[in-house]
Amino acid sequence: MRETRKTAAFYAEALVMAAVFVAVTLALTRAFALSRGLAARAGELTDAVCIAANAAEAVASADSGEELRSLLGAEAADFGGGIGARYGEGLVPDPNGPYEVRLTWDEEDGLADSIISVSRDGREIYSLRTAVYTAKGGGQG
Amino acid sequence: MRGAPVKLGPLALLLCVITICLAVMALLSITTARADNRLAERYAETVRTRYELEREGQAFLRELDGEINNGGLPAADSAAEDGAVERVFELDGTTLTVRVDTTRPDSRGRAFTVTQWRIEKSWSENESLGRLWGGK
Repeated sequence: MRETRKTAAFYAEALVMAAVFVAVTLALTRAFALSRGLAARAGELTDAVCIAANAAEAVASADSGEELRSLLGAEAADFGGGIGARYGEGLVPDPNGPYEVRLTWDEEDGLADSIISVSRDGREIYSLRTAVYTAKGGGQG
Repeated sequence: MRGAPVKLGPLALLLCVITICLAVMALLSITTARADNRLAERYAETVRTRYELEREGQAFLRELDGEINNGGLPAADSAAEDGAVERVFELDGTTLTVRVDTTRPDSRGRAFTVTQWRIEKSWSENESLGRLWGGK
């Protein structure tokens, strides 16, 4: 009788311990998944900002939409009315890469206004706006 | 005589230690990931501000070119000295100082030469030590 009671107590303790351990492990797994998501988002945003800043520098150096396309590299192409290019994980031009940058080039009186947006898998991550004065309009004040 | 009470065995102790270690690691990883995310967002905002200022500066150059071609000079933040015109743009604590020499045309066919294009972010030292002892 005493042995049976001790065995039952042992099993009860083992069961409670296992349940608590599983519950804590599940909660911690969620915490790890959350931190992984946050870190991935930070990495994506940093990559997108680098790509957008590179594109903005290309805009600053360009005198025309054609020159901007050539500055962005051989992979640059027309993307629905704007200029676009794709980049891989290492931020190198890659036609099949996950990052897509789209640029507009709206020139008026020599001032070319450009909106640059970077997206990944169709989801916009970052965008910025810049401009360059090309002096081709002669400065209309 | 009653049976001996069930004691916390070595396995329970081991699981307890493992759980505490996992909890500490989870806390550290969340803290680090949140700090990374905050830093990335701040960097993104800084770059956006910088290029917005760039845009305003370029618009100023167009305005200046037009004014010079029409025979005048625009109102600037500092008085023209020897043909120098300066304007300062401010956005979110970041300033862009543009200085141009209106007496020399540049190689791009503009009626002026940009002599300064400086972006600065105002910064003030945080003198508060929080809850640290100040040494007094």
